[in-house]
Amino acid sequence: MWGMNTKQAINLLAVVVVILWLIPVIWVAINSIKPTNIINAPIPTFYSFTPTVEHYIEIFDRFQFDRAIFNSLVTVGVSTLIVMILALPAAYAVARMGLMRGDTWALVILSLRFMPGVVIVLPYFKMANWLGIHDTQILLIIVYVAFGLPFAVWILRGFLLDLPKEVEEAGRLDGLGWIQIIFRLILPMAAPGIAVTTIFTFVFSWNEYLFALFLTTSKATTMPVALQKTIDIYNVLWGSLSAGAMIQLLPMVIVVFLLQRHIARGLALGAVK
Amino acid sequence: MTVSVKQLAKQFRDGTRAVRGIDLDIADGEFLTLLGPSGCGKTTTLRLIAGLEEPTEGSISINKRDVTNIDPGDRNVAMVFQSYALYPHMTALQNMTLGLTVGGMSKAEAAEMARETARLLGIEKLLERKPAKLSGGERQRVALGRAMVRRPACYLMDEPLSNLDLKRREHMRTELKRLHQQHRVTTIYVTHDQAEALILSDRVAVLNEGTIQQVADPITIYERPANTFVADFIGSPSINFLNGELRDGAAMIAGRRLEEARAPGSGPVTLGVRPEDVILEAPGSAVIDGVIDFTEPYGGVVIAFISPQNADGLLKEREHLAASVDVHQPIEIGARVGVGFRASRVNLFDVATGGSLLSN
Ligand SMILES: Nc1ncnc2c1ncn2[C@@H]1O[C@H](COP(=O)(O)OP(=O)(O)OP(=O)(O)O)[C@@H](O)[C@H]1O
Ligand SMILES: [Mg+2]
Repeated sequence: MWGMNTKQAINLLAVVVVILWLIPVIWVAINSIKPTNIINAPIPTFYSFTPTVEHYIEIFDRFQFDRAIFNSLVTVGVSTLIVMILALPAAYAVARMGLMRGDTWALVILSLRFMPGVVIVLPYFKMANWLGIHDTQILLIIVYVAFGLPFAVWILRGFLLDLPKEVEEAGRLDGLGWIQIIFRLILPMAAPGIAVTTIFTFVFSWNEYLFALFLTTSKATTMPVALQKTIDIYNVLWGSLSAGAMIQLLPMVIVVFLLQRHIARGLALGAVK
Repeated sequence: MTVSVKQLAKQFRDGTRAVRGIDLDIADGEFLTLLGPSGCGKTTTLRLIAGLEEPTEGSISINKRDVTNIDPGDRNVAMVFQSYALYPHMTALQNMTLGLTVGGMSKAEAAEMARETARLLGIEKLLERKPAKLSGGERQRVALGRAMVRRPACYLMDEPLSNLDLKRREHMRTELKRLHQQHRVTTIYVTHDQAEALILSDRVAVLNEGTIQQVADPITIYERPANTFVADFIGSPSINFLNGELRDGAAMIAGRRLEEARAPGSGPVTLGVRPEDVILEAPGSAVIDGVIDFTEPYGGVVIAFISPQNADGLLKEREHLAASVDVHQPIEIGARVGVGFRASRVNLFDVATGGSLLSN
C-alpha cells in the first residue's frame, strides 16, 4: 500500500488506533479547561478559546474533590497493599507447596470474579449497616481486598510458576528458610510480576464504581462516585466532570510511564504460562 | 565424610517408582558416579540425598548421622544443578556468599572465602557480574564455586557439564578431576555420559529402572560387567553379544572351543566380546569367517562391521560383529576375513537372567 512495507503499515495502523482511543481523552482534557459558556456551544471548538482553571477550582470547592481524592488514595492504596501482602505467600503456596493442586482450584478462585457485582452489592450493603460501618473507608478496603485478592493470587501464581524451581532449591540447600526464600529469592525474581499484579489490583479498585456508590454516601466517597455527583437531574456540569476525570486519570498515566518497562516484561512473562 | 544409603526408594504421587531400593556406601573422599540411561532415577536419587525429595522408604546417613528427616539446609551438602540454578538477581560474589552469611558468617569474611575459591576456579574477575552476563562455562564455574565455598561434607552434582560444548566439557572434566584430587571431598556425581563416568570416578554405580546394576571401579565396570545391561550400556562402540554354548567349563562358538573363556556348568551361554577383543586374521584360520560390510573411523582406530559367514544365529540382537582395528592396519570393505577372539577377556552371561557367569 503506497509503497509501505509491512512494518510501516503496522506502525501506521497502531498510530491510527492510538488516536482513535485518545480522541475521547483529548476531548475530555480540552473540556476541562474550556470556559463554561462555550462548552455547550452547538458547534464545539477545540482551540479557539481562552483556557481556564475554573473547573478544577470548582470541583474542589463545590464537590469536595479533595476528600474524594484522599478517600480513593486511602482505600485503594491500603487495600492494594493488603492484597499484595496476602497474595504473595498465598500464590507461593498454590504454585509451589502443592496447595490446591492443579488448575481446578485456580478456576474456582478466578470464578469469584465472574460474579456480577449487582448480585452481591445489596447483601454487602445490609451487612455493612448491621456492622455499623456503612460509609467508612474500612468497609471499602474490606470489599476491595475481598475482590482483589483472588485475582492477584491467580496472576501471581502464573508468574511464580515461571520461576525456576531449582533456584529455590539451591536456596534451601544454602540454608535459607522459607521466609528468607520468599524475601531474598522470590520477591526479587518475581519483581516484574509483582509490579504488574500491583498495578492491576490498584487500577481495578481505583476505577471501581458500583460498590463505592452503594456502600458510601458522603464521608467515604471515592473519586468515581464524586464525579457522578457533577451530574444531577437538571444538567451535566461538563467542565467539572472533565476536570475530575482528568484528576482520576492522572495516577494511571504516571504509573504506566514509570513502570512501562516492567509492565511490558511482566505481561510477556505472564503470557508464557 | 561418608554417605550411606539404605534400601532407598521413592514413589511419586502419580505412582512412578523412580527409585526402587538402593544401597550405597560412599567412602570419605570418594568420587562416586551414578550412571544410567535417561529416566533411570539418577536425579531422583541425588535429590533424595540432598533432601529435596522425601523418600518413601529407606534411610540416608551422612557421616554416620541419620539425616533422612533433616532439612536440606542442615545436611551440609552442596548441589550443582544441571541448570546451574544461580540466583539471577545476585552477582557471582553474592551467589557464593549467600550460603555463608545465612549461616552467620560476617559479610567480609564470606567475601574473603568466596574470593579465595574464585581464584581457585579462575573466576575472580567475574565476581561483580550477574549470571545473565556470564557465558555458560562461566556460570558453571560460579555454580561450582557456590558449592565449594561452603566446604560441605559432600558435593552432589547433577550432570553439571551437560550444558557445555564438547571442548569446554572436556576441559571442565579435567578441572573437576584435579579439584577432587586436591581436596578429596566426597562427591556423588550424576551423568549419563559413560566416558565422563569412567574418567572421573573412583567407583561407578550403574542404574537401570531405579535399581543398581553394579557398583565397581571403572576398569571392573568395563572389563567385568555384572550383567548384559551394564555390558551393553558401557563402551562405545557397543560390546558384541554372541550365542555360544558352555561345555566342560569352557565356552564354544561355531564349534570352536575358547579354552580361556571359562565358567562352570553347561548349556547355552551369551558371550560378551568388546570390539577391541575381536581379532582379524586371514580367512579360514580363525574361529569364523566373515565379510567386512562397512567401517566407521574413530580417529586412532577404525571399527569394522563384519557379517559372519556360515554362522547362522551367532550374533545376538545385532546384525554385525564390530571389530576395532588400528587405523594403519589395511582393511577393505567387501574383503573376506577370519575372525578370532581374545578369549581371556570374553565375558560370559547367563542366557536367561543376563547375569555374569564369571567368578571375579
Ligand atoms: N516429580 C515427579 N513426579 C513424577 N514422576 C517423576 C518426577 N520426577 C521424576 N519422575 C520420574 O521418575 C523417573 C526417574 O526420573 P529421574 O529424573 O530421576 O531420571 P534421570 O535418571 O535423572 O534421567 P535423565 O538422565 O533424563 O535426567 C522418570 O520416569 C521420571 O519421569
Ligand atoms: Mg536427571
